[in-house]
Amino acid sequence: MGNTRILTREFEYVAPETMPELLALLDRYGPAATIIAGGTDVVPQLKYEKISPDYLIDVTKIAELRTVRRDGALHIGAAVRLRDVKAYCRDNETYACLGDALGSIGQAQVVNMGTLGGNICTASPAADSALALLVLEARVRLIGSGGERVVPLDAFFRGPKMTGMEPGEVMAEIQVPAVVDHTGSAFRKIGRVAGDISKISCAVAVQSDGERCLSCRIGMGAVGPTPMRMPGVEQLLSGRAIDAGVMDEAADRIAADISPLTDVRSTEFYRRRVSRVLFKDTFDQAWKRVQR
Amino acid sequence: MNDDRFEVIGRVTRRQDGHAMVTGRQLYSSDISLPNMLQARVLRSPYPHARIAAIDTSEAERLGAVCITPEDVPRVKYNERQVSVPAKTYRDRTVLPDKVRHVGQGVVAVAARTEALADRALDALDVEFESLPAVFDPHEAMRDGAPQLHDAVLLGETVLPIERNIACYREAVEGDVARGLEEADLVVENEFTTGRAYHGQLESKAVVCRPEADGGITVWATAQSIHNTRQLLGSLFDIPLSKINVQRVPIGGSFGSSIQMNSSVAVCVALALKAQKSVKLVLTREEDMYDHCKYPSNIHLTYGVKRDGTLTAGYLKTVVDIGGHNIQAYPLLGCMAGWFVSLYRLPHLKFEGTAVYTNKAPACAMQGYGNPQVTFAVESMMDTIAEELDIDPIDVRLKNYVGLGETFWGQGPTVRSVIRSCGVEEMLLKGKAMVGWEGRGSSTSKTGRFRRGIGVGRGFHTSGTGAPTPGEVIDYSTAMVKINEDGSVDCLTALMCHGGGTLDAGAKMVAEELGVPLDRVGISPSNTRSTGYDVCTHATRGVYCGGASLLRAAQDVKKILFDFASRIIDVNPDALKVRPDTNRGQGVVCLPGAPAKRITVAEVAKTAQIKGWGSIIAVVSHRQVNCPPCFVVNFVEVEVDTATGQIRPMRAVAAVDAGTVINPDLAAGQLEGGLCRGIGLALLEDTTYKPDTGELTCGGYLTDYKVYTAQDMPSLEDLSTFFADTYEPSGPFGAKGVGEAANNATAGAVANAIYNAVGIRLTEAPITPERVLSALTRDAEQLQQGR
Repeated sequence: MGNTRILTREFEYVAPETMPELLALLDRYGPAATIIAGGTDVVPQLKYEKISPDYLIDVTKIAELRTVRRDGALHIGAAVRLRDVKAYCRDNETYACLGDALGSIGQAQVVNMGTLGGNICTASPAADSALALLVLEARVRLIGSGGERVVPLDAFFRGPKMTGMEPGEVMAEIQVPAVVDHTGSAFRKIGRVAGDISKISCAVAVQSDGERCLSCRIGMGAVGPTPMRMPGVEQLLSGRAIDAGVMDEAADRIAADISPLTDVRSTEFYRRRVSRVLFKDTFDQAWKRVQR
Repeated sequence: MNDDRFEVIGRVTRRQDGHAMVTGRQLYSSDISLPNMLQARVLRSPYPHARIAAIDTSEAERLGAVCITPEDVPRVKYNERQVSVPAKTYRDRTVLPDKVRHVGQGVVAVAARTEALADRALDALDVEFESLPAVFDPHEAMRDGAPQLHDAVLLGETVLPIERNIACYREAVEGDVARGLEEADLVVENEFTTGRAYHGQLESKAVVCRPEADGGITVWATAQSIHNTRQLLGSLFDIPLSKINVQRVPIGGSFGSSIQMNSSVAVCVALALKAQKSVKLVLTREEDMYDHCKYPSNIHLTYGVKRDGTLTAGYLKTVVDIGGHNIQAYPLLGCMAGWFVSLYRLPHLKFEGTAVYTNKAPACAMQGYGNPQVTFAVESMMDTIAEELDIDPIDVRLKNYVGLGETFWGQGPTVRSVIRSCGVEEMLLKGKAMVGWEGRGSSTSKTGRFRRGIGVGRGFHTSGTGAPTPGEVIDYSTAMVKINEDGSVDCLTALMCHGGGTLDAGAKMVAEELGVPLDRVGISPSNTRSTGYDVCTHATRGVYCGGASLLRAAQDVKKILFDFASRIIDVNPDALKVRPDTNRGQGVVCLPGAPAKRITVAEVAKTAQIKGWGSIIAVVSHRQVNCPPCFVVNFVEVEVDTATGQIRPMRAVAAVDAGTVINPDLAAGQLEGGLCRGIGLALLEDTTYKPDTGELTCGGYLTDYKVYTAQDMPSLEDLSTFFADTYEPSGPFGAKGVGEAANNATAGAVANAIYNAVGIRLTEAPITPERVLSALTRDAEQLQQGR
């Protein structure tokens, strides 16, 4: 049994203030270093002794990682607090599903301390913001000493707690493309209590002409190794007039395409059963948001 | 709600300790820090059942740690709870075991300069376990050939062999159940379960021990009874009680989890005695969760009832999974019998309870002590009866409840008394109107995905465990009150406050009696060397029993005050009154109608000092000879999402008959808190185990042991509380208890609300969305087959 009251192992804490400093530290320390931003995931990992780094590199002092700017796409620095992203979404309905996702985090401490980049780098299949960003077709910009690259989010997640980030790389920002007209989006989840990560979650972004679904992106969370896009259902719905029959068909496909497990939070049976209705509810809400 | 009969009782007043609590200045056991203090950590078993074959501490000692193993501690078998009389106390544990009986049980303890060093020392320990087969289900544990946790235990001083892991068995019979069931027009029966909820108190258990130069010890511990802690430590370590001082330290919540001396206290003392240095041991959350939980229940319940709704017989059979050690299963079973028979009148009744050892964390009392479990089953059954007979559920309750003038034995067969105050009818009828009961409709009238239902539950708890005759449980309190030379007052008692304001209530009673402004009545710090015995602050006895002892001491002090005052102002003491004078901030002794005959309490006390008459002081040991029921009624409205099985509590009305209410805001807070935890018991909370390893499924972490917060509860506008208008003749200023009662009726009310919403009787708590959805699916399939 570990000791979650204190961090029992010694480590060195460093807080660079510029990107070059950060990259140099990553190169110098290699796998002995762990990046910490809000700490809402890293600190529990330290306490559970799942990780025991010699160096903890705090990236929240780097100004470049803490800015939000817009140039068509929205660029959110990886170390921007969830609270600030949430406030931004409240003022910009375009990214409704991201606002829903951040609003669904019941623990004020997580919202205040956690960062958007951290929520993604944790690569939890149940990460709320990651699922919303997935259907917004977000990309992440990664920087290493050898250069930088931009990776679509759905290619970034490789498995539970596994990402496509190379050693020495750091996430600089999340890019959310401009949302095309007549698009609505929504995110919903089911947790055990208000302050919980999801048993199952769903995000939808749909473009419609009022009757037909012109295109859509659907994501399901906590039902597979990563936050998952549902290409089968997306194809099934694209170009179709939306009615109850079509929705039933799509919901059946969702339930068939996900691969949930039984774990401490819920059961495979339950997750599969409610995936249908959760998807319908979320789709419905996204659809209503287009009409407005 | 201001009661004109009183100056401060019944009024919302500010708590004396409130400021320190909300500003973080209150010091708890874990805040205690002493010079040269060592930090302790405990090596805990990774096995659910194992013999300890070998222990090597040499590496840990090389790191500078002081270590204790089972070899270094007293071999005395003890029970950590000292509330029952010795002859009824089951003793099955030692300070450190030679055989572990659940994952997380402490085996070796170390103390070092820092906690990090102590942790390294833990890693350096070499302990060889010989794993034994384990059993996690109480029914399996009772089968022949099941792994045996204990060969024998001590009951009092008698060796008691343990067979089929049955820790104890208890039966209560009145009349002839078979005959009662024959006389019935309808017999209903069902099986109910509730989970092993974790107390989830904010403060994990903590203890600091300082060995003294004279061979004694001073202890700061998370404890509901400093005196029982002291006595137990005295007998374990063979130290005279005069050399053991256990300090009362504010407790960061308890819900019953520190009625017993926490297992870590004796470990810390043993370390301190060996190290001859102060030692501090604070449990981590995961250690705390492996240390205690609520008694779960598995109840088979049968009722016989006449067509008009009159009960003819009741038969309750329960199996309780107590985990690896027997803390208080015997009195628990007695109380479960008591809760059962004292809810509704039963001409013929039978109770059978069996407590069974399993390789899980030991269960102990938690808010209600078997009562929410029994009441969940009973209140569910009352609604089943009402449904079957087509009678309003409230009428079934009104027809059968045990009320005014009737004998009840809430605390078990040996604790009988007559009910002298009762607000059951008032609460049921008023609550019914408030919640809009008549408009709730039947489940068959409800359609659509989201369905709302309203349910009722009622219950009670006893105020303490007092009785006219001495029984199996010890119950009395000691208090000292003294008037200081400036007219202010000190109250000294070993009574504890768990957060509900018990000590504050005591101060109000003293202020009321002595006519001194409340802000001049202080609660003194206390310890076992300066106070008389107080059994324990448990069983909802704080206000009714502990408060009564303070009131009695205040009454004695008042006699001295009047005697001294009469000498000064020349009035017969019997004619004197004392009232607070807010302008002067003083109590004033006066002869009503004679303005000249007035003197402040301060002047009396100062004069007594100058003239050498002595201190105005009194000490009283007081036993209440009743434990009157504080009745409770809950109405809960839920919304069931039939597509996801999620249940949301939307609205609630919670009422208590606490007799005279001492502080309405704090009492309402108790009702709200009890309701919240009751909803948790109904819908959410349980500690489950991995069958392969015997580990907690949640790992002991709060990240996966969820409790409801304000976000999950009905909003304040939708949550109403009220108090029955009653006066308990045996209570201090007419008061009874609140605490545990607040929790007892809720789970039943929730289950009844779910039934009213969807027409399905769910009997397995926690009623999780997973269980609801399965039940709804089964129900739909049955409906389809029926067509």
